[in-house]
Amino acid sequence: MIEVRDAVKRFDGFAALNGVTLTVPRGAVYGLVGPNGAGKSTLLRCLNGVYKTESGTMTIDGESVWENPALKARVNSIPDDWYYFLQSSTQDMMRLYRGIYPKFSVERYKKLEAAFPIDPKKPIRHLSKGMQKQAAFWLTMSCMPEYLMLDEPVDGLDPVMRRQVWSLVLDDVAERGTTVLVSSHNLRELEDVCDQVGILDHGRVLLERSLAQLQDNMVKLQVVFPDGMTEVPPEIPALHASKLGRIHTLILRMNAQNATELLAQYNPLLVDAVPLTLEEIFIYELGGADYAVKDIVL
Amino acid sequence: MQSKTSSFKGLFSPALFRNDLSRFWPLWALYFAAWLLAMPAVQLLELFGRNRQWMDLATLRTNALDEVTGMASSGALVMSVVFGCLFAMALFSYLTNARAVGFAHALPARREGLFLTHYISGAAVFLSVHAVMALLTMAVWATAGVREMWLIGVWFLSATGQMLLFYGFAVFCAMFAGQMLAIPVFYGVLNVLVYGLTYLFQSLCQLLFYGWSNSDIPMPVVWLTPVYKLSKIFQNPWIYDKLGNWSGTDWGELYSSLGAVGIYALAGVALTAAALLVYKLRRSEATGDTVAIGWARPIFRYGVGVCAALSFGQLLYTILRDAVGGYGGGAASVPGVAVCMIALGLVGYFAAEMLLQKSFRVLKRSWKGGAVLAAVLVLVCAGFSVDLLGIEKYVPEADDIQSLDFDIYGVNYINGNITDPETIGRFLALHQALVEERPENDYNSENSGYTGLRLDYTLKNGKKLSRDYGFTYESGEVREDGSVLSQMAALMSDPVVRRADLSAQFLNDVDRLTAAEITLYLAQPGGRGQTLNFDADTARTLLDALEKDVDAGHLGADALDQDAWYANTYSNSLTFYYRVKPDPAHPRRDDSASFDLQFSKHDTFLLAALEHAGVDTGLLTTNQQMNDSDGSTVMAKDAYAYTQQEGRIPDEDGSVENEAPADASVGIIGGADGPTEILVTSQPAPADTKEP
Repeated sequence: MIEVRDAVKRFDGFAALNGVTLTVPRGAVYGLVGPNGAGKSTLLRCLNGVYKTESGTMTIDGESVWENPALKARVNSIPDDWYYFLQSSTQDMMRLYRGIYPKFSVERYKKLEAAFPIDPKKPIRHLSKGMQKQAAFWLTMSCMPEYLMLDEPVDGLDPVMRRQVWSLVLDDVAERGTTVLVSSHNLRELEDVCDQVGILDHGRVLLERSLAQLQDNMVKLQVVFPDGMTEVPPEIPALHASKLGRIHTLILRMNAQNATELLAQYNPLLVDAVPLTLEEIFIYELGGADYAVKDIVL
Repeated sequence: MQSKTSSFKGLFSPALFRNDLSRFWPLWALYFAAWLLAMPAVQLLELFGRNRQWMDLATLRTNALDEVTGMASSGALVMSVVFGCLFAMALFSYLTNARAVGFAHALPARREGLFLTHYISGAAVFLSVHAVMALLTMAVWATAGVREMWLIGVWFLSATGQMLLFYGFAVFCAMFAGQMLAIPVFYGVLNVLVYGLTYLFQSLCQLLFYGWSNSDIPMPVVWLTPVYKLSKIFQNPWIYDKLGNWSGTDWGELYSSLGAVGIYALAGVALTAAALLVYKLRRSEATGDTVAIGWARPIFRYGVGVCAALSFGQLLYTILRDAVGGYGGGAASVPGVAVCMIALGLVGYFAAEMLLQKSFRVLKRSWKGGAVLAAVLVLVCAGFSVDLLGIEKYVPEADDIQSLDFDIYGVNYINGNITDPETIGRFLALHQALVEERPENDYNSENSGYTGLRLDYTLKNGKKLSRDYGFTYESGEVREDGSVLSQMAALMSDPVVRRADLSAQFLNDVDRLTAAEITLYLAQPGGRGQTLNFDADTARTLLDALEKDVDAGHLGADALDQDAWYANTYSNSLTFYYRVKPDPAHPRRDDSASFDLQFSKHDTFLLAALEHAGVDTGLLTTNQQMNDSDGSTVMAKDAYAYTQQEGRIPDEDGSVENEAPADASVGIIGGADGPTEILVTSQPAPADTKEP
């Protein structure tokens, strides 16, 4: 289990992490979402032992991450800008990984060769961005990680390869109980793979819940009010309201049943509850945190 | 199947080590090739090349020893300075790349493990290279019959010790650098920083303090500038026989040099340990910053400002002074120096700030620091202006002085060392008078003479104090009672001072006099000269007479009065030939030497002795007469000039055929298969017997 409590990390006075608290249960796939500059990559680097937090705690299975080689041997990450030695091939990097990560599986490395159409002897710098990402997955998955931290992991991969790597990751989760912490802006994709989501903004976690809880906690209603009611009554706590013809679309922070009961007092002609996508939850939650899409007239 | 080779073993990762070796192999190969060429290849060529055909083993061995000694000193120094930095730049370059540092620090290793593995990679390379080179060179020597294998061990220790220092130092610098280019810059600057700052401070003192003299660089400064100190080791560790071949070892010099290398090697290890501590403090996110360690940034900022003020500030002042006013000598303007130093100091300060902030817009954020620097520089200059520490006026107490080295230069130059309290007291009185009267060096005046006095006091507490005064004067001032010039003139003919001068110039070196000679330029009609030679006994008589003149205060009587000096001093110099005292550690192939004495009409004892030796002193020519003589003396003058330049003795007609008494001849009798007999003579063959 990954546990972060009140973690603070500042860069020249700017708090990139400003008291982050989150919990990633063992064997979960945790999606970390948030606007640009929210602190997602910083949080992942702190969890990898690259950055040191100024206060708060960061533990994996109860052990502090910082300067803990035994723990870090069980943790692998693929950052957004994966690093390789300039003149190295995938095979060269494999030798390094094999020597450094004690659980590196040469058997798995050979098996995965079929999944990734890469010449292992070709210098990595000569590979395309997407193929470099594939090489990163190939090597990382061969390390048999117990904890996997991914920052924009499928960025640059084609749709087939995206499905391929997610399949590999989810197989590992299912078979070996790997815990995955993934940061991405591709919310549609996260929706398919994540059990749990945390929304990060300004260095703090706004909320973290399972996807089902999130969807249960917020509802989108399409409502048609009786004649004479052209506007949404002000006492309805709508996070967002829009209107198309006579149909009002309302986003409410409550479950569908409570929302339907709330609207029942206005005798609507039509009430239809629609589940929200992760993207909509992200947008409306952050809209409440002053990060709404602004109507800008150019 | 899981990997058998596993992670970090304690503080060392074999995988990362192998990776370092394979990644940077071109650099390791370059280092290997450089030493291969400098050591075994050179020895191979030296001992088995063309030289072997015409040099004997003793000569070849001497050359081999000399070359390996050179490699242990300057060779190892150059290699260490250059490759120490390159090794550190290669192995710790990841600290200057954000992606690389993210990768490295996410690996399952402590910072110590990463640091030590990379450090050991570099150390293993240079140790291996040194060991291989030592073995190869030993093989070459063994084949050639050179037996002094221990010298290769000395080379190994020296090269390894120096590499430990400079590699450790470069690693230390790398820990502070967030950008690749900053590593060699920090390394280069810090290597000479202490020496440079000392030099700049002394220059400023010389500019602003009347009489300030740049003394010898203090020993701590020399030690804190390893490039300088190490360039002086293994300078002369060998004893040669009279044929110039190696005959023994000056073990004191050798051990002292090795001791210095050992101390620096320990310093290198200490710097490495310090680098490790700094690495643990270093934040990964500092990658890309010019200075990666927070607490070092103010040091960098103000350090650059101070260095810019001291160096470019002084330079700007001297340029402006010469360009605007035309330098006429005299003391520098303290406000002028202050303005230049503050201006350039602020330029340096804000330039450093721009590098730190990676922005040109730094004025708003950092003007307060600039103001602090400017204020400090104003205070320093004000301190100089009012001589806060009393440096200009300081004259040591006689009781505190152990000895005094003096140099007085004017029409002629004397120098020496004195310990006589009374004479030191007279110098102190002169020093005090100079401090009070402050005569200056005025290039624009019409004064006729220039003189100078340098005083180097050795104090009883072991410290040194140096002062240097130079100024122009009128000849008449020499005759004013109590004036600075009259005091100087009196000292220049003082028996103790003159004896100290003669001792410094040749008496201290004399083992035994062998001959003396004097040339009379106008001895014969038509301006032809004549050289008179004297045997050792006569030379001793002449020297005794000279010492009587010294004791009577005759020698140097007109030293500062130019007109009198020209009128009374002879252009005929009396030359003493002598053997120098033997130095068992460094026997000389040629132990003969000579000393030319200028004397004057005042030196009555010497003139009498010359008369007694058969010299017609009426034929001596004063400098005034020499200048006033007509064209008939040209040949004699030419011969004189030739004598001065070449140290040869002209014949009666002014031509030169014979060499000086130390001349010798070597004859070799033998066939094409090598000499069978070598003959050495101490006298050259007569001219008519020489082969055409």
